[in-house]
Amino acid sequence: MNKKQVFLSEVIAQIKSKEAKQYVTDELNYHVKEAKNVWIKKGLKETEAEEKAVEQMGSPIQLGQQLNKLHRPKVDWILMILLVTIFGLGFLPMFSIPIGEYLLVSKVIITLIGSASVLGIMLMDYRKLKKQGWLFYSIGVLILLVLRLFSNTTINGLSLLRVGPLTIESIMSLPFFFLAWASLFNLERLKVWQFSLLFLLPFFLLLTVPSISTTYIYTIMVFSMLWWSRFSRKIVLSIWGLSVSFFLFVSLISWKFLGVYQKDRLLAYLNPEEYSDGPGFMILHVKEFLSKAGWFGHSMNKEFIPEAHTNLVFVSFTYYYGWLLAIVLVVILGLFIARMMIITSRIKDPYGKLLLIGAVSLYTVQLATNIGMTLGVFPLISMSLPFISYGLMPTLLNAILIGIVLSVYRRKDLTRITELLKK
Amino acid sequence: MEDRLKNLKKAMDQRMFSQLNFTEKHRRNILGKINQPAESDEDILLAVMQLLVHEKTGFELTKQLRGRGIKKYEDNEGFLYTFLHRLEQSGCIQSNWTEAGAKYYQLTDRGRKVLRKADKRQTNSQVVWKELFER
Repeated sequence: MNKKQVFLSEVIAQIKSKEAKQYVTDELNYHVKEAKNVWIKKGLKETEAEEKAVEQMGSPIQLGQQLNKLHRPKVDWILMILLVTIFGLGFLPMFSIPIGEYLLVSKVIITLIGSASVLGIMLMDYRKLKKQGWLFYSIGVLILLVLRLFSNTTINGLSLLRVGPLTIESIMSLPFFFLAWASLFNLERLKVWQFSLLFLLPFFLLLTVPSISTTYIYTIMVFSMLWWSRFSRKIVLSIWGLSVSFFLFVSLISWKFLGVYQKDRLLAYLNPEEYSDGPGFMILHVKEFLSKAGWFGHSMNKEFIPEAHTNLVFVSFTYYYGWLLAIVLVVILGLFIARMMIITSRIKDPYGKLLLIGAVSLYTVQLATNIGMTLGVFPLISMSLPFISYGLMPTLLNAILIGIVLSVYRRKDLTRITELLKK
Repeated sequence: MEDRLKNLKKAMDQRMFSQLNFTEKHRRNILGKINQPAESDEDILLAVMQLLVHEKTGFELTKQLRGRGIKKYEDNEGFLYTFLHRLEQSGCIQSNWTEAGAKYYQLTDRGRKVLRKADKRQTNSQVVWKELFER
């Protein structure tokens, strides 16, 4: 080992974080190399020049200690506290619904799995995922194909595949598409037509599975991330414009071909009173519970509310605990968005930024839609309230999102930018 | 208590310092440190920020700091990097790696704002220091 290697290894021996070691080594190595060249030009022999250059660096142990302090892995405690709070609040619906006590044990297990995934993903280096874009894309498509071809159960119009204790549903493909698009949008050579094809394949698969709500989340996610992709702003705006007009066109055309019951469902959402004995019933039912809730709720009577622990958890929560606690709940869930946006603004790595945008949009879509449909400003679809609704898959999805955000935050000062960001 | 400390110096001379040679190099180092003008950390901060208006590697920065007569990082060049990393984490400067493995530092918009304020007010640089590191 030459002097330089001894020096570098002494410095990094003081640094705990594995990722910081590499980062520091590369930078100091470059400095010593340059300094050595200067001494060689001044007429020193190679070994002497290196010795001089290393000597000029100062004490390796002290340097290592200071750098270690600076590059201690960072944990975003604000997000951590929010997460613990919301996992705690997630247990409240268990006490407000009739079947709650039977679900309690599995809720505990789901929460533990969720927490473990958050921590596991936070510790994992997100940069390793960058090159696996195509793999994630293929897994996502594979899940949808399997569902499309082999689904054997249907619940509320959603196709599922039950294999033993395992249930495969379309929402499982979302984290894979999320990771895939973060990588794909980071590619410089991605063309618009390639983007369109890659977007449309999962889109149609989701539509035909069929899973309208997952299609909707998927679309919003991809179109939000598109803004931070390598495409120029002009191209992004035209893609948005084209898609919206195409959507309106298709909706107008398909209105003629919709079945009566499908039309009724849409009209019922606009005017529930007229359809009170049919599809409007649920909407009115929900409205009634919310208006009866009051500030402090009815914590003594467990009324039967359909889907009270999953999609309509916000209704049962509000009815049982009252509007005061419901507002607190929404504020805490909203704070996640605010915190993730603040973190996004501090991330320099373009890939990390895309991941965060995807996470924010996936999370926000679920929250806004669930609250929106509960309050009657959005049609009733199958959409869970993040961390509060019961279910392994929705909990896992959001745990993965928060885990990714924490993983990016943890390494925000250790990422290398090899080009200037798009201004 | 005093009795126990009585032989400390002697014991230290015999055990601890017996392997230590006070070389010419040590002497020079100490003399150098004594004669060093007392540059405050705050002045160095301003100098670094002024130099980083245009992008530079840490190595180029050491040379130019030496040119400005700042001796803090003389024979202590590695420590410039702890300073740069700290500045980078404060959001004042940003870095950029080239394919060749050089890391260039440059002032960010936020850094420029801080520097402009410091220049205009002609205030002491302690204010800047506090603003960046002691929030």
